Amino acid sequence: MGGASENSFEALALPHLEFIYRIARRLTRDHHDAEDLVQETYLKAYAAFGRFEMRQFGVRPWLLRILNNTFLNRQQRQQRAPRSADQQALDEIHADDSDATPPELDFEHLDGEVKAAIESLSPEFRSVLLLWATMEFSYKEIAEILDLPVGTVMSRLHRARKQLTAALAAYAREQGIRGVDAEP
Amino acid sequence: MNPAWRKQRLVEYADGELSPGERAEVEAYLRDHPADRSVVERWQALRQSARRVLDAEPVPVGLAERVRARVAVARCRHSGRWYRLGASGLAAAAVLVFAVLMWPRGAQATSIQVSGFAAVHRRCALEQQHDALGVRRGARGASVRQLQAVEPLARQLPDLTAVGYQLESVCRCGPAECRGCGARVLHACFRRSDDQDVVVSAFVVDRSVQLCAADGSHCSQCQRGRRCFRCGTDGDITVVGWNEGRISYLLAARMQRQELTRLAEKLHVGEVWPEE
Repeated sequence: MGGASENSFEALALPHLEFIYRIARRLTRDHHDAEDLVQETYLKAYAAFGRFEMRQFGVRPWLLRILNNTFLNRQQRQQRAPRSADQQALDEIHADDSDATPPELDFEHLDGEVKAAIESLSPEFRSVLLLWATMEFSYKEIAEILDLPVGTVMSRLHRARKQLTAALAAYAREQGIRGVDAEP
Repeated sequence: MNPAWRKQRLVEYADGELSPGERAEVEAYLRDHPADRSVVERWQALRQSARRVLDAEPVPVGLAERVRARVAVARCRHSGRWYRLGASGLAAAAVLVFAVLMWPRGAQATSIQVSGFAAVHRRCALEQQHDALGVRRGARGASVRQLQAVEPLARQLPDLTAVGYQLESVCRCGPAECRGCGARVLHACFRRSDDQDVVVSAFVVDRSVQLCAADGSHCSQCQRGRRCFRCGTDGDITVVGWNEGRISYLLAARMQRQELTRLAEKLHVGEVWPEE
């Protein structure tokens, strides 16, 4: 674990800091908590660096995995964990099997609404959706990062997108945008 | 394509999950089905919008330096530990004897950098008046006693209102190293009644912590009355800490070390947890 070499922890992990912070910020929804979470993640990553094998996982997914586990542990410690997302999904699956196609909207100007919709997701759905949104990871890679079966990732992603879509459709209706309810 | 299979295929296509052969097949289909092409474009637009939201998040100034500093301290401790363990069994025995002498109760103190507490003082007390527990919003003029109703750790909070300060805000922010070891922290910000420029942060940590400098070395120590204080500075901020039972108390402020220690000496703390 040398200080300056190109294989040192700093050289490999610090270039991902901003990316990790942005994910943490959206996960925690608070910039103080996000910074604490990032610092804790990096300390844990440093402590585990000797056991890290890049060829197995890659630096960024490895950091994301530590971030996610740390986030979940904190939630459990604070006893704020909501009921399981899988249970939520099961509860809703029969009640609502509608299409989750996004409405016809100008997405270039909807970032504020998308941001609010992402923040309203439960943590389990939010973490899957954030990793999907980076456009870097496949379902399988997201599953590895979050330590979930691929099927669960797909199910949570479906649910998360559906909630996003519902929020945006509601916004579009409020704005009087036509064709929102039309099935493509 | 049957409808269910088609829908799934289109989502997987939009997400880039298909093999080149499958992609070509879907692209051929989309050329003849503009409505479905529009659906795919909307999926992709939603994903890009989510990514823009993510990319637009500003990163705090100095975050990289703070993380780098913490890693440097961790490296310092790590190297020191392995040096001691690797040198000889005698060294290990010495560490054990030292631990027994220094912590006869069996409690292990966690080393926390002065800069960690100073950073929270700057951020939450001086700059943002972070008030996660709603002291300002819900209970103007709240005392430490009132706060105890919502946060049990507040029972341990040094009551600076008894020495001429007003409680301004309370949050649960603490140095990342505290969170890293699972410690709970309460941070209260007090302002002096007769001089509004004087702000003091009081921290309560639900376990023994030991202040250390940025290089991992121990901070200076002084005995005043019945308390043994450790003191350190980070820029213009002084941090003073002491342990009672299994609880650690810390004060941070823009004050001279002697002045802050004198203040710390006067403070009464709540119920001290029983010793193990």
